[in-house]
Amino acid sequence: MTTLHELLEQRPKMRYIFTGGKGGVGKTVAAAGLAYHCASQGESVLVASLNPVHSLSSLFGQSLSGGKVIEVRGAKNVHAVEVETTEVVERYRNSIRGRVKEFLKWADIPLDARPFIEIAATNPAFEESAMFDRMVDYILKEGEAYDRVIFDTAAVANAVRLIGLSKIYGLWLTRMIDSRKEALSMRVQLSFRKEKVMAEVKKDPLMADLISMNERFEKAKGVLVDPERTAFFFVTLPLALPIAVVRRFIGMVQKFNIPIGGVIVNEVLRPEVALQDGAGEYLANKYHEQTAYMKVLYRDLGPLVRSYIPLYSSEVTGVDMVRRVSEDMMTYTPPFAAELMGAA
Amino acid sequence: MTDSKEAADPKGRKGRGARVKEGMKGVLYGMAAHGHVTAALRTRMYLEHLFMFITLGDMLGVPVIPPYYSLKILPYAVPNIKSWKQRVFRERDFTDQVF
Amino acid sequence: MGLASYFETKGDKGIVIFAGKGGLGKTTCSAGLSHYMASKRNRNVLCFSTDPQASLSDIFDRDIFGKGLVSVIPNLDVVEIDADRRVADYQGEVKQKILTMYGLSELPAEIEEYIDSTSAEPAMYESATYDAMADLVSTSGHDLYVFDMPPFGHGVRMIAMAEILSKWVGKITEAREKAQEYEAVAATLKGTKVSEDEVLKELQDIQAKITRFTDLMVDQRRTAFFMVLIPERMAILDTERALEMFDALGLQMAGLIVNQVYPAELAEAKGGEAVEFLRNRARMQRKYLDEIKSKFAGKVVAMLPMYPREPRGLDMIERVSQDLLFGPAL
Repeated sequence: MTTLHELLEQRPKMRYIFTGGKGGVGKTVAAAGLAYHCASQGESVLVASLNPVHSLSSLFGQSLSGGKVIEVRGAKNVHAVEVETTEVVERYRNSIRGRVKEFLKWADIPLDARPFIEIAATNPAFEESAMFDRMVDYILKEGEAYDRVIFDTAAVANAVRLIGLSKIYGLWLTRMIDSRKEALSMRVQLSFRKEKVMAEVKKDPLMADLISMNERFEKAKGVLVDPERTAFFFVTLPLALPIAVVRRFIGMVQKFNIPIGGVIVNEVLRPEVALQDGAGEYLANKYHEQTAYMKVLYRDLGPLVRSYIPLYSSEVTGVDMVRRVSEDMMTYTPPFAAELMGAA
Repeated sequence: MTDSKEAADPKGRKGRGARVKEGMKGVLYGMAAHGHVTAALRTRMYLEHLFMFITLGDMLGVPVIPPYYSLKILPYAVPNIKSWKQRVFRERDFTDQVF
Repeated sequence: MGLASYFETKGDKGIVIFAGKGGLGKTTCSAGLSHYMASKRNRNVLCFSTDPQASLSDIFDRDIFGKGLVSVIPNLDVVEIDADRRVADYQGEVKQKILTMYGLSELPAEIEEYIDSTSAEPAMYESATYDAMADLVSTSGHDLYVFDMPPFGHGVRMIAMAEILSKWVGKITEAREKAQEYEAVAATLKGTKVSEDEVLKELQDIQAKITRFTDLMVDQRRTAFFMVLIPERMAILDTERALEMFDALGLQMAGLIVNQVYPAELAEAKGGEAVEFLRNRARMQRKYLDEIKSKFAGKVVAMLPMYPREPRGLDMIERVSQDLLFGPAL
């Protein structure tokens, strides 16, 4: 059964790594630990947060915000970026704003445009499309400069759509392009110059943008389904709900042919700590519960479990803690693993 | 609401110009068919456009209101989709701005 | 302190909403409050989750997802919406309506494709959930509704939509009131009148449902929002951000609930590694509890301890409810 450490060693070309799972399980911690480890082996690494609620700064204990790639202080070869979508989303919003206003004017509709714009501008598809667009950028452009690019994704639903690779991404954009083409065709038909349609469509800078986006998206798709180059890791806690989420999530990811790297179990309570004399009811009970959930995990996803991160007595904050996480991720196997897994 | 040039003049008794005029009435308030535009007619026209825009906007790439709600009134727009799009897409300046 | 004293001073509410990030305990709080109100105060309670990850099923230790109202104890009904299925059913209804209205045996390709493609829109799931909530609150006849917070962006959209719909309905009604001109114009419309009545009705229905619900949500006499957080850095930052958003929407937070707090004595306990482990965590929390106290002065209404076991099952929920309603606060 391959460990995470072995997997990384066996696949030097596995450049694009994703961490996913329920909210609060520690995706960012796992991503940071992975990044630190690879960097310590001499690789150049980029860890990119695709989660709109960025926690890389908090994790590394330094400011990494602003949407630019920053070299992490105290972690050689680790670069980090909290991916920003504000600019792209604003572009989308302005384009919709403009179109709505124009229509209301043309049709002589004497209603205030503001509520329309308010509704259109808060469309959740904009944020998701924008994040996807930025991810594609990192895959096709910035990512090439690194040996590994580790993406920390958002909570499940978004991540699934993000990697859905065909649906929401650009859906409304695609419709806009099609409408434009149809509108132009109608006019062009009238003047019998059909070959001018695409040329006309591309004249609009937003349209040209959108068309190239679709092309880039197809390229990125090729990378994302390649098991040599990509792997998706699921992070879970030894608790019922996160495990159930991982199970569902794995199914969805498989459907899209994204290669699965394995499962990382976070916040594992060590028996040496929990079962000591005098440890008390709290830790003993928690350990007991954990054992039950680990049995379930091994039963359902045993062969996929690749790595464990212990529960620490302090918060995971700062480069020193990240180093500790990275070491444990690669070397720590709980004493109960062999027995429970064998029994599963 | 349906296009009905034929229904207006089933036996083809009127001349070509008159038939076109009738046809225009059927295609959403062609203004030329009426001598002048009353306030009421104007209201009906923009209400029609508003309805189609809200219902079809999302389908055409301008997400106006959440699709969950526009889907509810979509059935009422179905017979007019083609003629409305033609009306709207043919306007040069306008389509350059919106579509 | 505890929530009981909040309700004593502010009166019983019709709706209680617990907000907060994933994994911090809002569903636990929903369950706790619901249990108490149903079992000890004899209120008819509906506990509802908008979280697509079946966390109520987990907490009540029963399969509730997509099963409609499930009675877990007398007076307490629990619901977990299967948004995916609702969206699919809804799409089916729209398709069927078109087929029926026009006597078709199949849909025009463009239309079928469009209806199907709406499954990929995140807004569809939000709307379906919101719609389900609005339905439950207005038709199920319970005394108290308890749920976790639906997505923010949707709230903003709802308020704006209510505005547009009411203006639109107003304009149509106004146009139709000008009866004479209307009749003359209607003559050219060949059959519009029937459809228009129906469209108007649909719009009025949508508008009424949305307005009824949003009015309820912003009415502080009837609805109370509580934010759940834990004594950790990110959670505190998120709470600050959330409070700003609430402010912007014109909503008020009734109070904060701090969850997963280690007992204070632990911070000073002496002992081996195990105890050191807990002591460190307790100390770290103390720091953040102080921060919470200063940043959100006076807003903390309840505190929940770190339980020795995961709060699952009716026994644990009852324990949670006691702590939530009557436990200490800062």
